[in-house]
Amino acid sequence: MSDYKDAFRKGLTAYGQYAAAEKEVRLVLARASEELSAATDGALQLQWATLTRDARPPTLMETVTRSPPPQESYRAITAKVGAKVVELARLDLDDRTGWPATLAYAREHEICSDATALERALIEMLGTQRAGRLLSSIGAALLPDEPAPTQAQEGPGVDGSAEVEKKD
Amino acid sequence: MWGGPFVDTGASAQYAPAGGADTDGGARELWTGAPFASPERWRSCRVWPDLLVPTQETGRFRFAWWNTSFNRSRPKGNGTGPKATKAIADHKERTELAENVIRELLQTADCVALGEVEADEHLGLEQALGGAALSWYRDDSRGLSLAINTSVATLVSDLRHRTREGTRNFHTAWQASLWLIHAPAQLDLYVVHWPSDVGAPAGAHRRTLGQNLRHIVADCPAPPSGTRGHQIVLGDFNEEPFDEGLAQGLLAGRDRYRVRSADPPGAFLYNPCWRMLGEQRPWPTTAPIAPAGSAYHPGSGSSRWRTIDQVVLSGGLLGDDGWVLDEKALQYVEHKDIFDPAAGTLVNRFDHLPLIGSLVHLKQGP
Repeated sequence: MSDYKDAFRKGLTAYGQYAAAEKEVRLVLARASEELSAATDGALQLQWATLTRDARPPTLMETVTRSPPPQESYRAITAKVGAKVVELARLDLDDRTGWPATLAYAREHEICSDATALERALIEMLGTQRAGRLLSSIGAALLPDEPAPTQAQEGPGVDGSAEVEKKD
Repeated sequence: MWGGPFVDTGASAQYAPAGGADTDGGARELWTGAPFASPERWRSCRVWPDLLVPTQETGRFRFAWWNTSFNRSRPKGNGTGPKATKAIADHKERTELAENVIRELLQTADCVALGEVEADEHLGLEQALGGAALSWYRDDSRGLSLAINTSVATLVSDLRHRTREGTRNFHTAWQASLWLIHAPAQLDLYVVHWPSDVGAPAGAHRRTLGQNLRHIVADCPAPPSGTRGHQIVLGDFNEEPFDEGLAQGLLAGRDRYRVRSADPPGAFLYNPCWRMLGEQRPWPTTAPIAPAGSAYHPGSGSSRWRTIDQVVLSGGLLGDDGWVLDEKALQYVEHKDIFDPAAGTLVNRFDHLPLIGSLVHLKQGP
């Protein structure tokens, strides 16, 4: 009997941790969205959406019959300007405890242990030329009084990647 | 008579030694004789007698890792005085020595991963050593370079895995997904250079990196055939096989059986570098002094040597056929430009030995 009760308690604790982590992530994204919205006269918004994609490449039979392969859902940060939406990066939480969150885009796969880490990873992601291209493609533009981004603001590393701690 | 359906007798399993006795790293012959000829041959079998089948090698993929330790001599700043001039000349000389080492690695290995290589050094190596069959790649965020012999393997894609903790940012691994050409299969190579304890202890961070890399490797999709994936993690872990990041974080151990029989498959990884801890030749010996590890730091504690340059493999590479680890081929390279066997020390300010290893593709059947 006590095993079931302990398991239930454990489940509730895990759920509490997950919900708290999810709230923190939403808060980080809300802050980012708010700042970007203000910088674009309310045009640009960030969202955390659940999207679907093919779970695997189509089989020969599926190709012949034009039926889609099985779908899987995932969560991603999307940018929205009017009706135009573009996917910026995948953002998933750890299934069990929420943190760490994983931010994945292009060749980058970032495991973020906490809200500060996620904030840093998001800032770096938005500073890449890839994000600039995607946001431009949906018509996102900074207000005229905002200084235009320069190379120096894109981050210290190549492709906008931050400097990794190097202790050899 | 036998303890079970699987009899693992160690690294020489696929081969029957030419003279019945095991050889150590020398030329080996494929199984050609009658399977039940002698007890020695019994012991070289991995399967029940009635399932005993010879194997033949149908492909080979050699890999290497070397921390070039360029950081130790790379000139800092743009000074022009005599000190700066000497530093530049010193680094140039070490670069030339390193080129000799890498040239030999490239002659032996199909894929060479290098650490502590900055962008200009990468370019220099590519210009000095890049042949028509070589492709060079780079992860700038941690100074890693990769040279691949494109007649043996091609790079399908690559990913940079990082771990962030608060404002800190660590390089977890550089994942290079390769396609092996001769016996077609995907191989995921993870090149690592984890933080050292210089300045401040980094054991806790390495443990986190190990845990995160464990999940990354476990989530790596298996080949379409449904077999276990082929994954290799190699590089400078800045810790020994028994330290926390590798043993408790990455769950890389010394027990082949545990790795092969893990449930779920892939729960553990195999670290063959457990066999490379300590002195390699029993005392007393008159043989030249061999390195007792991969990294040489004369000022550190009770041992000048540490085994921190390692390779770790998934259970899918410990099978009886297909792509498997050829454990006998795994060794630290004692190149004359970096190792002095008379003194038993590293020279020319290099502090790491290259590690070279091999996968072999085996096919069962007559």
